[in-house]
Amino acid sequence: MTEQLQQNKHFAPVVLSPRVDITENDKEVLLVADMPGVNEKGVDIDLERNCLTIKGNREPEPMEGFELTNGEFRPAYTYERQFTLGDTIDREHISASMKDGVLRLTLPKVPEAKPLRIQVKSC
Amino acid sequence: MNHNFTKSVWNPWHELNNVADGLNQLFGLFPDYTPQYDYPPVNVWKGENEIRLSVRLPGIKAEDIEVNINHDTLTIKGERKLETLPEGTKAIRSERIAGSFKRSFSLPYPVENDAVEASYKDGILNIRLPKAKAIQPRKIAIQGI
Repeated sequence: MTEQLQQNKHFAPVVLSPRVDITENDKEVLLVADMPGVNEKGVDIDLERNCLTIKGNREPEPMEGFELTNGEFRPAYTYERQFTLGDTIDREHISASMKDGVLRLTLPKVPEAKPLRIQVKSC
Repeated sequence: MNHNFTKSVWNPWHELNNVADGLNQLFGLFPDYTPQYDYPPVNVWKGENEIRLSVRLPGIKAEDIEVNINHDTLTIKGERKLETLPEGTKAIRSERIAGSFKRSFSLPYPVENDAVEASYKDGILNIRLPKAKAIQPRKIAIQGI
């Protein structure tokens, strides 16, 4: 496997963009990303200002003594994609879960802010 | 003369389709199109006495996958269902694909049917196909008379 890694450039890890579904209702935004081969330990979610980055790292299965005879996806890859969050998202309460290679991110919305009224006093 | 050709194990069409996928994703085109190439992508690994298949199949229930072996043909079929949108929820982006799929492979040698294992973990289906015992090389002890 290591020899193959060195020999064939196709074995080099690639960065893929996961396919995502995004849905929205009054309370939250739900982001679902397909990241096959990635488990909960391989997921990395970063939020910097309003930029949300999801990363997924796949540990390739050990295949010592095996030769790839038909390849349709690269054995080693990582996923990465960035999203811009709107101001309505409650950043403190974002939650995530990972199952069967699918990442689900729940982004709750902040409760609607009450309009602020400023009293004008006459001096 | 003995030429040593190094055959590429990669199907170039898949790579090209990945490019097209990337472009479509970039421009937001055809969000719910059905792919023209074979789904799901399968890697075939060949060992001395075993063949292993890894299939990239995220978010599917194990009971929705069916693996069949008929003589020298292995068939993987199943259906990927995506959850329906609840009332009051709207879709902003729909890139993930759903539907039924079926792929068949010819096996280079007979396999030991009882020893075939299939497991599904983290969105990858792994199938192990050991070579039939009858055709596996074995050492025969010679007895002195």
